[in-house]
Order: sequence, then structure tokens, then C-alpha cells
Amino acid sequence: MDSRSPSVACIGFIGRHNNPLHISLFPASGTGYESERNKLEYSFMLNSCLDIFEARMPTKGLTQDFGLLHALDERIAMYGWVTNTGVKIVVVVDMEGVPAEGARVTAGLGLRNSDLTPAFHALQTTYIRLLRNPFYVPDHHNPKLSKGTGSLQITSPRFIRDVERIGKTWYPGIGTM
Amino acid sequence: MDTSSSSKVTVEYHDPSGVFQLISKEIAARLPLRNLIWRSPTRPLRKINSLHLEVLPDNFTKNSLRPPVPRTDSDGTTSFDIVRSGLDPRKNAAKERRHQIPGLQTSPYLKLYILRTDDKDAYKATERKKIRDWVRDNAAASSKGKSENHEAFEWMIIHVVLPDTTASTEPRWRESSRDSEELKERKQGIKLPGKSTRTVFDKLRADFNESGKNGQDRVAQIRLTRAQVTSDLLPTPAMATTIEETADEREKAWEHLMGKIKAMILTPFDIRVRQYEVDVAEQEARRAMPGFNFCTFFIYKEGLAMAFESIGLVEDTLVIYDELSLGFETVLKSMSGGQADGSATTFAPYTADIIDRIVGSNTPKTNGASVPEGNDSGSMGAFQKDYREKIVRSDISVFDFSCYLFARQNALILRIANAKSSRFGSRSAEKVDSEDLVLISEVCWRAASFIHNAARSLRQDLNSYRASQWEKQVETPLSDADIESLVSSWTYIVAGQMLHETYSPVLETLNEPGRRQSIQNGTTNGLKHPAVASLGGVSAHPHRTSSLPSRKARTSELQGRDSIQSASDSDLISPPLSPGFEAPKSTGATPGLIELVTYRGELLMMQRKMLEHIAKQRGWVSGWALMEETNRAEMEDVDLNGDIDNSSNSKDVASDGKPSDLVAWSLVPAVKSRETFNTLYERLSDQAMRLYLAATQSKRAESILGDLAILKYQQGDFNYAASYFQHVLPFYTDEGWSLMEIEALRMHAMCLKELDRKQEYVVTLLALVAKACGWRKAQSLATGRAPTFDEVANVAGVLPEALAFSKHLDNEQSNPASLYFSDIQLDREVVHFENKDGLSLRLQVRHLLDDDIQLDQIAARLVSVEDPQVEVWLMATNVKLERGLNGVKLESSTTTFGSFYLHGIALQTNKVVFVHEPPQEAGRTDPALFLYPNWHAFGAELSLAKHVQIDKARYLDVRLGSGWNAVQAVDLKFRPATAGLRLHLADATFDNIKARPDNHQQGQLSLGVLDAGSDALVRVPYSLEQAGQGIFIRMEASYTTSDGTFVFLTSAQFQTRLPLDVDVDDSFRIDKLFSNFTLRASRHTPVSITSATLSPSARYAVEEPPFLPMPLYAFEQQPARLVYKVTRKSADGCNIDQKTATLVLNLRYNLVEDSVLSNARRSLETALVGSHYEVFSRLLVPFLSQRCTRLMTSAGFEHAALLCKASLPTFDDIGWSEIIAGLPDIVRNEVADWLSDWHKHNTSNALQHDRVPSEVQCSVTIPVEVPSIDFVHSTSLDIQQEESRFTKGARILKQGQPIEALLQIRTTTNWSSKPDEGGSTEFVYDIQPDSDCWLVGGPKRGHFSAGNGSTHDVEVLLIPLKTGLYNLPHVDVHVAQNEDNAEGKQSAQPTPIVTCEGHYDSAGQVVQVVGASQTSRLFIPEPPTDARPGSRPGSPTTVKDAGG
Repeated sequence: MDSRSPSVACIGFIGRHNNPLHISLFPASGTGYESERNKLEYSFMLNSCLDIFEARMPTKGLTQDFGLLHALDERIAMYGWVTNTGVKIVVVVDMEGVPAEGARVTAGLGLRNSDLTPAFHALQTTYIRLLRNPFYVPDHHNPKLSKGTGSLQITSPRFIRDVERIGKTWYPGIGTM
Repeated sequence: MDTSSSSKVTVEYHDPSGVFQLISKEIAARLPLRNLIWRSPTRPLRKINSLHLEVLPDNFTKNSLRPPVPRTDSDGTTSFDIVRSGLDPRKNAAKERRHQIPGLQTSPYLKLYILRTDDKDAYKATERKKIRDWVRDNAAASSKGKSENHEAFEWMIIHVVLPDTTASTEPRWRESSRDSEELKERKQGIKLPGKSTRTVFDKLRADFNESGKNGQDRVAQIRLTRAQVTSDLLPTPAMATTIEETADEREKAWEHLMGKIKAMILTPFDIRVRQYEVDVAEQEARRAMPGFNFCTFFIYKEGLAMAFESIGLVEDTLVIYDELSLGFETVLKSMSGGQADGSATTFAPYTADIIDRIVGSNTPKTNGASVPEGNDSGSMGAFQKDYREKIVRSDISVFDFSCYLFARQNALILRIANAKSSRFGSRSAEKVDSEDLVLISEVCWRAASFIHNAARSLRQDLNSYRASQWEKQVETPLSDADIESLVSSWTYIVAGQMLHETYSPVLETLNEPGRRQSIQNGTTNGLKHPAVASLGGVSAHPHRTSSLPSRKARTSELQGRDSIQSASDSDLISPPLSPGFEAPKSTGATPGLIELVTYRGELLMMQRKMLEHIAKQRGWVSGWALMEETNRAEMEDVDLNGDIDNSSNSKDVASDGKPSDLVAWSLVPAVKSRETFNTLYERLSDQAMRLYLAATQSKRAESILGDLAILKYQQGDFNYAASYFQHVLPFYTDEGWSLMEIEALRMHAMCLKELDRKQEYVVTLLALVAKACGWRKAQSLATGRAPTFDEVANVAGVLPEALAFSKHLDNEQSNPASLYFSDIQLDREVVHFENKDGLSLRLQVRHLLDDDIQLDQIAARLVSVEDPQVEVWLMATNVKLERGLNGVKLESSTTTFGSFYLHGIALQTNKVVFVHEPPQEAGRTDPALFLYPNWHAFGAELSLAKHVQIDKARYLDVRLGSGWNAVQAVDLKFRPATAGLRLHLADATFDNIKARPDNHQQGQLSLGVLDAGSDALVRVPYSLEQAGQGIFIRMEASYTTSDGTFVFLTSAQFQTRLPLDVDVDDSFRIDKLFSNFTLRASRHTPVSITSATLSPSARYAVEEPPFLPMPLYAFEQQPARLVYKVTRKSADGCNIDQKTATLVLNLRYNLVEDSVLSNARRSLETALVGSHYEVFSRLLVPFLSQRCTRLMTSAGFEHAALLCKASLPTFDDIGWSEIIAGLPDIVRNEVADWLSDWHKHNTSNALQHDRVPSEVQCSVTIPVEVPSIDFVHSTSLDIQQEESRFTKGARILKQGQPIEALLQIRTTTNWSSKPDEGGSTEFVYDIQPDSDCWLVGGPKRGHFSAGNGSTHDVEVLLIPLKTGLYNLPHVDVHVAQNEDNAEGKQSAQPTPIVTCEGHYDSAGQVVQVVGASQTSRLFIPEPPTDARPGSRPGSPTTVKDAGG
């Protein structure tokens, strides 16, 4: 039995009106772990964690890091971050996501909140870069303003690429991303 | 293991005489010790609020004395203990063990020597010796060495004085004072005469209290009353009379004793703490050195923690454990990182007994203590293990270690929180309020994260266990399923245990229905799930029989909930889900309750998740997870609508391997069958949902509600499932969680289908499809790699299903097409058929889904831009749409001309209609479509008849041109749109076509055959209620050819007012009449009159002007005038009737506007003939005239009339581009070029008067009556004067000279239509001179009677008053007024009205009035007499006179 190391299972951006902006899934790798991540399941996870944001929002004040939101089971745990515009970033970590190799070798212990901070910083930077893109109009992704029936998800390829990169490269204890 | 250990300090007593029992009750009553203050030099001051003591006999006492009360338990605690501390005897089991590591012992802090000496002698003789021995044994031990500091203790002697003994006679208190305040102990030094003052007590003090200032008082005395002592202990007979102590004194004595005990306990405690700290520091220092063993370090540090705990400093204890836990993690990290080479820390590779502990038996035994079956605390077994021993041996597994740490922390926090589970017995049970929910929720929170971490290490643990099994080549090593099952079971158990431990009575208030339920079912003895049952709102012990509710009760409860929900004032579901929900007051009031509820909810969900894990191995899936399963299954072409049950899923699982039997014993019943699993699943979900709702965590609650809905669906309870889904759906929709919405919709639809709610079923399916289409649409817009719809949800077959099913619906289901299709667009290019009339347009629709769909029909409705009443329908039937862009040819047999807007498109299949409606009016962005007929198609044109006879009915001309159609029948439907317009269809006349007699409908003309290429004219008379208004008529010509029936639509607007106003002014003479016609243009366009004739009638002859400069232009401001002389024909009789007497004015004219337009049209038509673009003639020509009418102004037409030349609008002005866009691609540019070329050559056109095109030539016939005038007078005033010398010019009259004039009035009745009866009529003449100029002599007015041909002469004297040129005075003749009438008397018969006209011949006669001077006086004035004709200037006299 190989030892496993935590990896990012899912990165979710949720708009200020609690609408999903972007959800990236990162399948686990290694033998025995190939099964695809189910998008529905993760949608529910992200949706549920909004409750926790809501509950903690008043006490959190200006701080952006919400830390561990909720541990679903021994593998899956969710960490949260809120930008000052109310966009929530959720990183779901699979504690046994990838085989432990190289820098990824860690003890089978829980993560610290600080382990996720580089990832959140990088994700927020990515989101800020997206906002600076003149072709991205945040109002188009606002369920209150846009009455479309389609998804309000972010479609910027660069954004998606960046998020995927962050999701793939993160490991506990990474310095900067 | 001391999860339940509380702060208790052991006190050991040595009771050789067996009297301890006598005071024990008193001691117990004064326990626990209160308000101990511990001062330590290195730590802040601590106050221990209460401290329990455990008073135990020492070995000697235990052995030598039978316990006073029979034991109830094998462990050796006494009932006394139970009474004293409320301790559950079982819990103490762990306390009794001993460790070889010092800190872990629970050695006594205080040793008591219970002394009974009845008198001094006995004391001296035996007791003193015994005490000395005892003190030596113990006190000496305490000073053995450093290590013994771990067990530092104090000792003390309690002297128990029995009544009736000598000792009891010895006074202790000063007798003098009875006041309790001043109660003082008798001092030793005071000696009373005659008696030895040394009491036994005094001697004891003297003997055993250390001398010196710091010496402690180690002796206390308790006097017993007789009542407290059983008689067998009393000396018989009584030795002496006892000094009875007062209550105060007794109290004081006890106070002393307890105070001493307090001090005596703190002292060794302090010593021990310091010792431990030293130990810990020592170990800490060694941390970096090789050979450091964390376990050893742990034991030392835990010793300190235990010390704190035992004394009641729980917070300090917790801090230490937290530090230890951190240290443990650090060690693990460094070990796994390979940085701990030199460390001696070792952990067992796996936990050997874990499987037994999880699966266990139904009666787990730990440390010899059996847990009774069915006890809720049975799940406590998860942490019941002798961890410390393993730690000491340094072969504890990582998993066990973390379990131990957690269990300790958990217990400590619960203790701080004063949680119910950490309290003992029922005594404190009432003090519910004192629970600190914040801390309890902290426990839950810690538990949640611990469980996950520990589960991970458990998995590793099990993996390594399996590895070892492999090495040993065990026959049946653990399978993956086993490991999975074990981990899940363990998690389930621990979560259940945590739920049990963190249960707070406050929760009961939240969970009323739940409690009701559990009470209801308290008697039904079904499956037992301790962990679960404990959640139901009951405390552990009394309700241990609570069980899963029966199915029936469950349903009734759900039903109740459902009805509440539907009533929409629920206390359970509705409020939390409503946006403005606030926590119930009871919830909000208690701090920490929400958190607690939330974390408990999480624990429940954790349990549920574990249950799902285990059940999944058996192929049982429920909740949203089922959706995932079915989705996956669907990929493999499994019917979605099929029965989702074990069969399909278990098949999948079967390949994975057989399910593990290693399931926690508490879960075994639940996984027995699908039903039991469902019941437990539902129960956990339900409870978790309630908790989440209470915690205002609506999203999670919704998610669980969805789980329940799916469960209900699985169970076939579709009603509930549907209502649950209905409830959940809006939340996902509003916030754009499309994926979840899609799944919920899908399930909802399935429920509805089962329930046979057809309408809703179709609606839901369509909503589902709309979602999918929306997604697809977004995807097609997206530039980058957006998540594709197919990745997330599959809606294949849903749309066809919905469409097909819709035929069962009663009503049509209308949906916006924009949700299902995109790029709906109607081409502007009109395509005509090759062999028949009508037109078609191409509709473009993008179908977004993979399924082909068959549409029954597509209908597009076009509405005219100018006239919204006119609409054209384009249809296509049986259209198949495939994914991607579909082109559909919409056909219409209707042709018309004009611009149209697309008003709507309806795509219909069965009862489902997709409606596409472009924004109307304001928001309209699409350009108008320009429809026009094929160039040789049927045509119909409405116009007003060109030739108008004023006195006859007017006509509406309908020109029909069959074009290439051999028309079999034509129906003309007229729809007058003007109020008051009536078409007299019955009187219509036909030219070149015949009416069909068979068909007669209101407002319709049915006509017969019209051959190809022929024209016909239908002339319909009309009438208007109000003359002169404009009229608007729509006409629909439906004609039948061999190809079917076609429709041609047209409409026209006319001004019925004639373009010319004709006024006639008659001027009568005796023998002739001048008719003066004024022709004025009445519309804003000039009229060119090409001919005018006034035809004579039978009675009158007309003399035309000798020459008319035709054409005459009549403008609005400048009318044309015509004068005709009419004379009466002499030959006539009197019997010519009025009609034939009427003259007729016949005018031929044409409007300049019409001419200009006609010229322009003609010019374009001519150019088109023979060109390539003749096919568009029916578009271009009407468009040109339409636009010219709009563009050219009345000023322009006047201009044209004056210059005989009109300028035409340019290419751009016309706006050709509008219609060119609607032409076929290939010819578009060419037509544009051609037209602009045409415009270049036709900037203006000339109005040619000689060749007026027939279609603009109009004529009007106006009957002109010659009015009948009874009498016509011709009056003349003739001045009777000899002819002037000056024959030329005016007569000359003298001013002031009267002149005779003759007023002659001739009368005729020739112009009267009445027969001349020869009578005469009274008239009045009236001379009306200008009073400034004329003085009239004689009567100015006079009566006369006249008849036909009579002449009346009146002589008048005129005196001109002023010189100058003047007209002769005016003479007016009119009919005399009847005097009688004037006086107001009604005459018997009304006087017939007599009309008369007069002509005053002398009206233009002018006379010159000159002054009549016959003589002139000439006056020459005389020269003045005093004139000095010769005076010279400068004469002296003059100078003098002047000077004087």
C-alpha cells in the first residue's frame, strides 16, 4: 500500500450571490484511485459549504481566510477563502489524492490552514487577473442581473488554465505558487 | 483509562480502631472541598472551586477490618464512596491500577490516622506508640528521594472522641464564652488548678506537631455525639459525663479539620507539580538528543496533567494535553520525514486489537469491566483500552495514540463544559443551565476533525496490519472492502459516541417532534441502535430501550410535516428556508447552541456517510449519490426510467467483491437488509436536517431534503418525493446551480410521471431541457473550454419524451422558444415559387440538443408595419430538426405588398408550443421584411373612380389582374376600416368578369373566372356618412387556381374630398346672368384643369368665354376663375322642370401630384421592361411611388406646376437599400447599381399637358342650378341735367346745387321658376347716400309695388355737399316687410317668401362735384397812409423818433 499525499480535488469559485462561477475538478491519481470525481457531488459540497461561509461571515470581519470549512470524511476536506468583493473560493482537498512522491511526502496527518494559503493567494491573483480582463464583465455572471438560463460560469480560457495549474501543482507545504 | 476521571484527590486513612465510619458521614457532608487557593511561585494564582476527595482505607485498614457495609461491587469501592461522590462504581475501575511510572499513580495526597483514645492512659500506653510507628513508616517514606516527590503527601491525625469516654470530658473550648464569634480554643498553656490540664488532644499536639514556626498542625479532634455512635462502640458503662459541644463548637471543629485537610492537600500537590515540571523540563531538554522517546516524555508530561486534573485545574490539564497533541504531531511529521533517526520513539506498526474493538462482540469487555448489553455507553468502547500501558511500553500504535489524546482532551473539555455526560448521577441533572454549549460544540468540532484524521491513520494502520498478514501468509487477509468497512464502522461508532457525549438537554427544545417520536416508540422494541437512539432526545440511562421508530409512526410524522409544509406556515421546514429566516428565539438566546447544533448535524451526516459507505458495498445507494450511480449507469445505456433498485446496482458491486462482514456491531442490524438501511439512513438524514434547519444552515438542509426525496422515490413514495423536490428546486434555480437543478428536475420529473401528473411532468421535463439548452447555448458562446454540458448531465431523449408525452395533455403548453432553440431568424429574402403565386421565407433555427425532434408545424406570423391588422402567416409542417442549424422553408399562399415585422414564430408538436416573440415596438431591432408579389402574380388594386359626378354615387374601383393565373374564382372581401363607410356591394358593376351567383356572403364579392393575363374591373359604389373624410379599406382577394387557393392582400387609403373646390357666384341682370366659377385646389397639391365646359340646358343658354388658356392651374392660394354668361332661352314655356333647367359644369383635370408620380412610375416601368430586373417590377415600382408620395411636398408640386417640371428624389432619398437587402444575394448589387443609374438619368420629369396619362385624368361633373329669383330689379338713378359741355369724363355737378334725378326701377320675373301670376308685390326702395357727400331731397325710401315688366320712377333731389369725385348714392330695393307681422300679429296665412335680386346700374357712375362760384370778389387793399416812401435810411429824424 503506497502512502498517499493530499492533493486538490476541486476548486470552486462562488460569486457573491452564491452562484457558482467556476468549478474545476482534479481527479485523483495512482492505482486504485482512478474513479472520476463526480461533478454533482462536488456541486453539492460547494453549495453546502456556503452555509458555513454565511454562518462565519459576521465574525470573520475583514479576514479572508476561512480555514477549514468542513471535513466531509477522512479524505475530503474543504477550505474557504473570501475576497473582499464577496467572491468565495473553496478548495476541496483530497487527503489521499496522489501517491506520495518527492515533495509531496507528508505524514498522514491533517493539514494546517496555512498549507492552503499559497493556493488561495494564487487563486485570488488569478481571479483578479480575470477581473482586469476587459472582456470579462462581472455582471454577466450575476444571477440577479443576467436573466439568462445558461450557466453563469467563467469561460475565460486563461483563467481556467491558471486554476487548473494551481490545482495540479499544489501540495501541502508548498511555498509560493 | 480515565476518560471519566474527574478531579479527585485520594486520601488514605489508617483506622486501627474502626471509628472512621463514625465520622465518615460528617466528612462526606462537607465535601467537596470548596475554594482552595493554590499559590505557586511559577504560576499564576489558581482557585479551585471544588475538589472531591476520595477517602480510602490503607492496606492495613483494608485487611484488618471488614468493610462496614457489604460491598456491592467487585472493584472494592464502597457504597460509602458512592454516597460521597456520586461516583459510578464502574468508572472507578481504571483508577485502581498502578503504574510503574511514577506520575501515573494516584497515590494519596494525604494520609489520615484515625485515632481513638478514650483516655490519656490508653494513649500513653498504646496509641502513642502506634502513631509514632505509623508516622515513621509514612513520613519517612515521603523524604526518600527526589523521585518520591511524585508521591508527595502529608499526614494528619484525627482524634475521634466518643461520648461517655474520658476524653470526652476534656474540654476543648473555652467555657467562658458562649458566643460563637468568640469561640476560642482552649489554650494549652492555661492551667487550671486541681486538675491536669493536659488533655489527650493537647498531648497529641505536643507529640506530633513539629515544633518551630513552620510547624504544621497535624492534629484535629472530632467529638461525636451519642446519637452518632452505635452503642457497641460506647464504653459501658459510661466512663464520664461528656461535655456536650454546642452546634457552633462542633461546626468550628469541623471547619478546623477541613481547613487542615485543604492545606494538607495543597502542600504535597505543590511539591508534586514542581517535581513533574522538573521532570518535563529534563525530558524536554533531551528532545534533540538521540534516544529521546516521545512516549516517555509523554508519560512525564501527562503526569503533570494528571496532577492538575486531580486537583481540579482542568483548564491547565487541557493546555498540557493540547501541547502534547501538538508534540505528537511534530514527532509524527519528523518521523515520516525521516528526520527522526536518533529518536527512540517507536510506535506499533498497527493496532492489533482494533478489529475486535470495532466489530467486537455485543458485549465489549475492556479492562474487565463489562458493558451491559444495550447500554448506550457501549459505544464508549471505542476509547476503552489501556493506552497508557502501551505508551509506557512505547509500542502504542499511532492510531491508538491519537485516540487516547483525543479521548483525554474530549473528556476534559466536556468536564469544563459541565456537559451532562460528564456529570454524575442525577443530583446535578437539574442544573441544565450551567452547561457551556460553546465548549460542547468545541468538542463536536474537535471530534469532527479528529475523526477524520484518526480514520486516516486507522486506514494506514489496517493497511499495515494487512501487510503483516500477508507476511504471515494468513489465509484470509483483510480485503479492501474489509478495511473500508472497518474504517467506516469506527467512524460511525465514534461519531455516535460523540453525539451521545455532547448531548445537551437544550437540544430537546429544538427537536420536539423527534422527542415525541422517540417517546411514542419507546415501548416498541425493535432494532437497537444505541448511538442513534441516544440522539433522539433522551439521556442515556432511562431510555436505553428507545429504538428506531416503526415505519408507521414515521410516515405519520412525515405526513404531518408535509401537510404543514403545504400549509406554508410550518415550524420545521418553511422558516429556515425562507430568506429572512432567523434562528428561533430559544436557539438564538443560548450562545453556542447554533454551533453545537451545526456540529452535531455534521456528526450525524458523518454517520450517514459511513453508513452509505458500508451500504454501498452491499449495493445500496440512496440520496444524491444515487443520481451519480444512475448517471454512470446511463452512460452504459441503462434505462433511466427503469426501476432503480438493488438489482442493477448490486450487479455492479458484485464485480467489486463481496461486502465485508466486518461491521461494527451497532451497525449490523442496519445493514441486514435494504429496508433497515433505508430506515436508518432516513432517520439520520431527518435528524441531521432538523439540526441544520435549527442552525439556519438551509443549504445543507436542502441537500438532505433532496436525499430524502430520492429515498422516498426509491421507496415508491412519489408524493413526498415530488413535494420535496418542488421545495428544493427554486433554491438552485435562483443561484444558478444548474447542475444540481438539472438533477433535481430530472428526479422530480420521474416522480411526476409516476404520479401521473401529466402537465407538471411535461413542464418539468421542459424545464430540464431548457436548462440543458441554456448550458449548450452558453457553451457555444464561450470562447474557451467551458465545461461541456455532456460532462455533467445527460438529457438525451428527454425532449422527445416530453414532446411525445404531451399529446396526453389537455391544454397546450406554451414555452418561450428562446430557452430551447437559438439563432431563430427569418431570412429577409422573399422567395417566390416558380409556378404559382405565394411566397416563402427561410427560417433558421439552431437546435441545441442531440435528439432529433419532429415538429408538427412551424408557423410564423408577420404583421404589417403600417397596418397592424394585416397579417401574413407562413407555415411549414412536419419539420424535423436536427442538432445544429436547421433551415426551414416557411411558405405562404398569401401575397401582398409592404413591409412586415415578424410578430412571432410558433413551433408546435402535439400540445407543446415553443413561441418565439421578437421584442415588440420599442425594443425592436430586427429590420422589417418587405413582401411583394411575384411579377406576374395575381394583383388587385383599389382606387377611387376617376370620374365623379357630384350628384351621383361614388365608386370604388377594383382592378384585378390575373397575371399568370387562370383564375377559377375570386372572392373579394372588403373590410372598410373607416366608420360610416358603406360599400354597396349589391350594386357593384363588373367589367370583364362575372359575379358568381352561387356564393353570396356578407361583405364579399364572389366573382367568376378570370383568364390568365386578363384584367377586370369591379366598380363598387360607396357612401359615407360624413362627406369629405378619408377612407381606409382593406381587401382580401382569395382566388382559386388549379394550384389551390391563394390570397392577395391589399389595402388603400383615399381622400374622398375632391381635389377641387368649386364656388359659383351668380350675378343677375334683367335679361342675363353671369355665373362666376371659382376653382380652388382643396388638397395641398395644385390641380391642372385641362378643360371646362358649362353645358347649356333646356331653359338656359350658355355663352362661354371666348378663350380659355388651358390648362388652368388652380392652386390652394390662387384659385382659377371662370365666368359664363347664361341667358334664358326665349322659346321656352313655363313647364320645363328644374332638372332640365340645371346647367352642368364639366371639368377635366388632373392632379399635379398624380402626374408627377405617374411619370416617375412610367419612366421606371419603361426602363424595367426588357431589363433583367423586370421580375422585381412589382416590388420596385410600387415602392418608388410609395416613397415619392411620402417624400414630395406640396411646395414641390406647386413648383412643378409652375415650372412644368418636377424633380425626383434621389436613390438615397428613396431608401432603396431597405428593400434591396431583401433581394436574393446574387442580384442585390446589380439592382442597386441599376437603380442608381436610373436615378441619374431621371432626376426630373416634365409635365406634359398635351399628353396627360389616362390614369391620372380625372373629371368631375357638377350640376349647376340657376337659382330661381322671383323678382329681379334693375335700378338706375339718372341725373336730369343737360348734357355737359364736357362730354368726356364724369358729369360735373355744382356743390350745393340741387339736381333732379330720376330713380327708375325696372322689375322682371323672368328668372323666377314660379309661374307668373301677374300680380304685384310691394317693394321698398331705399336710397343710401353717403351722408357726407349727398343730401337727398325728398323721401329717401318709399314703397312701390311691382310686377313683371313694370317700371317705377321716382324723382329725387340730390344736393352734392362736397367737392370731389363721388359715386351716386346707392339704391337698394327689397321686398317690403309685412307691417302686420312687424307689429306682432299673426296673419292667417304666412306670407310667401319672395326672393329678389337687384342690379344697380348706376353703381359705377361717378360725378365730379365742383364748387358753384358764379361771382368773385377781388379785394385789393389800399397802400398804408403813413408810409414814408422816400425815407432814407439814416435820416436824423427817424433816428430821433426812433430814439424817442
